Amino acid sequence: MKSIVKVFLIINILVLSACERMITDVDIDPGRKKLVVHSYLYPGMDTVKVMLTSSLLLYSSTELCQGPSNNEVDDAQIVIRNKNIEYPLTYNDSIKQYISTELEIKKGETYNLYVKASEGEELFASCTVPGENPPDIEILSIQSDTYGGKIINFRFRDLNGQGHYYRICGVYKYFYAPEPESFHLYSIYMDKGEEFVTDINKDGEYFIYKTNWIYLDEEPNPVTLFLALTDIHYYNYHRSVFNFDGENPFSEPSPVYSNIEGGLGVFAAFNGSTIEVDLE
Amino acid sequence: MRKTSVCLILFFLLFSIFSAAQSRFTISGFVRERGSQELLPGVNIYLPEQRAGTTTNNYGFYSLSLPVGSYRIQYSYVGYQLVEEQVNLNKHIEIDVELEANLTLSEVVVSAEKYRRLTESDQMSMISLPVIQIKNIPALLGEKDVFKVLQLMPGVQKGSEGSSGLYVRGGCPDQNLIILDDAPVYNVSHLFGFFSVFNGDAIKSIELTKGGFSARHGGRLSSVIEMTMKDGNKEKISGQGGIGLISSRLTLEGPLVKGKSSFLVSGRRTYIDLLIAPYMPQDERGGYYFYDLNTKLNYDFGPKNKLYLSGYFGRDKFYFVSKYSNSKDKGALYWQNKTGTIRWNHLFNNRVFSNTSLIYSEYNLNIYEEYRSSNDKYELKYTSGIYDVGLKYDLEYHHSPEYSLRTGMQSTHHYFLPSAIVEIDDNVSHEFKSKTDYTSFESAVYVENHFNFKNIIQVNAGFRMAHFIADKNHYFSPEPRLSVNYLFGKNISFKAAYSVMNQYIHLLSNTGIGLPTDLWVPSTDRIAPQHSSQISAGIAKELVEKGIQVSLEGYFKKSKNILGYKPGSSFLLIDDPTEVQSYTWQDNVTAGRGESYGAELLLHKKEGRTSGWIGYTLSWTQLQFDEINFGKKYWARYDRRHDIGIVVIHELNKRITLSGSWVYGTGNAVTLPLGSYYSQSHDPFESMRDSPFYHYYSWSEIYDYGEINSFRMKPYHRLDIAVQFHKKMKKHERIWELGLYNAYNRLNPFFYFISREYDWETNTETSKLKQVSIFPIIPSVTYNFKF
Repeated sequence: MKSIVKVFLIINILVLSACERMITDVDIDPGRKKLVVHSYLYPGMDTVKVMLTSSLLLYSSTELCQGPSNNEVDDAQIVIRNKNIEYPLTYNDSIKQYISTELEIKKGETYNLYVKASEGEELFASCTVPGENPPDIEILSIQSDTYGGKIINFRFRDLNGQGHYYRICGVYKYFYAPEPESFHLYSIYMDKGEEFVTDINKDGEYFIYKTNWIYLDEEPNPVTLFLALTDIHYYNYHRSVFNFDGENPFSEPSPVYSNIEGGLGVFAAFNGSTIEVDLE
Repeated sequence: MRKTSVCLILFFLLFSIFSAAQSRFTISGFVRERGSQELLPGVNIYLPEQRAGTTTNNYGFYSLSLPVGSYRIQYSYVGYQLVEEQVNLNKHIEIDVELEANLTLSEVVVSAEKYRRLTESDQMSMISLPVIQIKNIPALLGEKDVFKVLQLMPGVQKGSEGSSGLYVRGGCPDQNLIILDDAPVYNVSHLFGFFSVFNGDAIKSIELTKGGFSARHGGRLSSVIEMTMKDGNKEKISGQGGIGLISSRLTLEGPLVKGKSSFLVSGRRTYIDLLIAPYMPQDERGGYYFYDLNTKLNYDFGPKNKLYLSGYFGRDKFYFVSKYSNSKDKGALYWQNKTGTIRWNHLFNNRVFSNTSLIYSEYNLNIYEEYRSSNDKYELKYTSGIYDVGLKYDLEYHHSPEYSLRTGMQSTHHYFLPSAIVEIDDNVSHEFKSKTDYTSFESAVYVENHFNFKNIIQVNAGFRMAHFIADKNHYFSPEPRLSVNYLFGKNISFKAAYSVMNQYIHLLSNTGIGLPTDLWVPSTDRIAPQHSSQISAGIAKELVEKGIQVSLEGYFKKSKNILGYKPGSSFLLIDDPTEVQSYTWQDNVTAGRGESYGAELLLHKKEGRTSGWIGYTLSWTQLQFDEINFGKKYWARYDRRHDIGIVVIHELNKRITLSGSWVYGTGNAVTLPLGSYYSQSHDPFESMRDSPFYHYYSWSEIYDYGEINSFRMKPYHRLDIAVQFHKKMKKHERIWELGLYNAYNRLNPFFYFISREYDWETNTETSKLKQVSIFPIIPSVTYNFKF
């Protein structure tokens, strides 16, 4: 929308004219760092993983290149409890996460996460794996154009009962060399339908999707669709990350959801399945 | 219970019998301005010996029923000379009075009964601003603005620097009922809120009510701002105007039939786009302008019937046109208000007055772009707006100075169009049309009983029954209204009021500034009407010899079903408007509660060589939404603990007027990030990725916010000064005004943002909180004239 862009350029010019003298520093306390947890559980996973990082201070000076790989916390004690049995996790340096291969994740079970950092901070979170399997994806039709592009029309039906949350997404492989492992995964965008949905006011209804145009190589190259039944923490967290906009000083702040008591991030669960769709 | 009912019935019977027993006759008539014949609302009509009186209504009419006898009647009004009449009342009399306007505020004898006595009025929490004071107060870039002056009053906060939005006793701008000649005005901002749409030259009177609402007003929670346009000079052609830095204005008024009918046309337009047009490239033009046009026609059929036609048209427009060798691209973003009213005053007899109004009001925002070339055409049109058609009937019955009744009804058909899009792209044979709209009906009936017991106790007991139809839901809302005034000493009274208000239409705005993309939407089966109840109490005192009114009021207001926005929701269209259909606004809002309380002190001197006011407000406003701030209470953004407004106007002599205003406000409450961190979304396809580069899938840096609105911006304060040089020529008067806005160059906060500075030598990144201010010291020059 060129006109809108021009309108707001004009606003910016008006507002920011003579801006150098009109911008001043504000004194504010930098605060303190917090621990950030990311962990996702699903039934049958062979290795449970928990990523623990530290937040960054604002209004202070920090070392440059503070990407996610520079903030891991590797000296905490992490335990997951299920049915009064505790499963300690150990730090794995190659993947920079705390792992356990002993803990079995099952449908319908509740898992509690306890984190104790070396400086004494304690975090707690809890999640319950959905007890049902996700519904099936039903492919309605595949459209083609003269250039080899494809559109997939599909749907799934909400499970009976209230309080279901879903995630739908897809990828396809783009081969850049003849070797089977020489591919990039590209996300499929949806022209119709949202990635994170809930059945509030839509119990038992169909959720209908239509992908954007997908252009594949000539080799057989199925696309992969993923549909998961998630818990409320998974849904809230991902939607709030998706909606986050920290750059507009006039809009209401959009805080990112967290179910970590004493910290940030998310400890969530889902039950998902993938299907491959052959577009030929 | 039965005994009480019997006593009440007996009391009213006796009262009626007593009233009927005495022979009563009525003095009634109209009060006008000498010369222009402009009808004057709110004129104080007082009988000093009987300590009784009344005021003219919005149409200049008054009626007093008294026993047979001899009376001295004083007619007084701010800005006019007092008129006194001696009457021997032994039959019904009609007395039409003409008041002479003072040329200046100081040309007056500050007498005992200059204006409606605050201490003898059952109306509390009301501010009546003399238009002449508004014209003397210094303003941003010399543009006199009614709303900016209201923001200087206690109990009224402004939003952000430069904004003309009003936050009255903790309420948002959409909770103000803004009426111009009976028509509601939905968007009151030009240039994103820097100026309001009201041209002071066309306005006759302004009244702001913050609490103790009378039953004839409803539909909004926080305030009623009632403005009346001038009727037009019925005797001769006259006019006034001015040339300023931003805009120029011209008002013409005069008789169509001398003494009977008159017209008024008042226009204002900016001209920066016209000035820079010659300097723009030939093939690319663009610009911005706004204009206002107020029009009025009226006809006086005689003492019993008068007809008024009023119209207001205003628009803001950004536009561009680009011409290429074989194509043309043009587009615009514009928003506009249009209002129109036809009003008929009818006098049934000297005690019963009625008014019937047919009302139209619309506000819409439009975006369009059109691209045409030799082989291609693209067109996009987006409209969003609200359209009202309404009917209003009001009846006044003036039984006696002890009792009067007001009753009436109002019905409005609302048509909401949150979005309507048409997109045509011939290049890809694409046509897209989409529309979201709602229709609803809002109605109300009301009754107000005004009792006056020996001028010691005044009571206004009223009731309003409101009704709203939305989808298949009917909302019925009983709204009791009560206010009491008790005069317990010399010129000192105690006031108290209670009112219940409901609001069926809501303004959705995701930003702190008044952007035209703000949406008006109705209550639906999912969105309940907003509701508030307010009690207020206070003391009023007249320092009669000094001509100063003092009032100290406290209030407590509770609101529920107020709308807030779910975190992360947005209604601001930046991208493709065809995606707007996915912005189902009902899914993006959430309902909550509000609580506001505080105290307001006002010392107001309306006339004299030195006039002005000092206002101080101490207030708290908290909100609670289940889906915001984890359900915990938090301060509203516009919660400002202390608010001070001081205005002084001093006439040095007949030719020079000095004026100044100083405002102070505690900083806005804002939400600031406390830190940042990297989010790690779940990767469903992790096992398909072998590359270690995908170890951190879809991470992004996000902020950790503290509690909502837990940080206070710096306090806001500002001094404005101005000097006016008046000169009377043969046939006209001219006034040069020099002004200084923000005279001591205070850098007030407009918004905060986080800036990142990188030092490559030390390999460090520093984040800082920065404040942006937009208005430094700004001088202005304006030339005004009157003839």
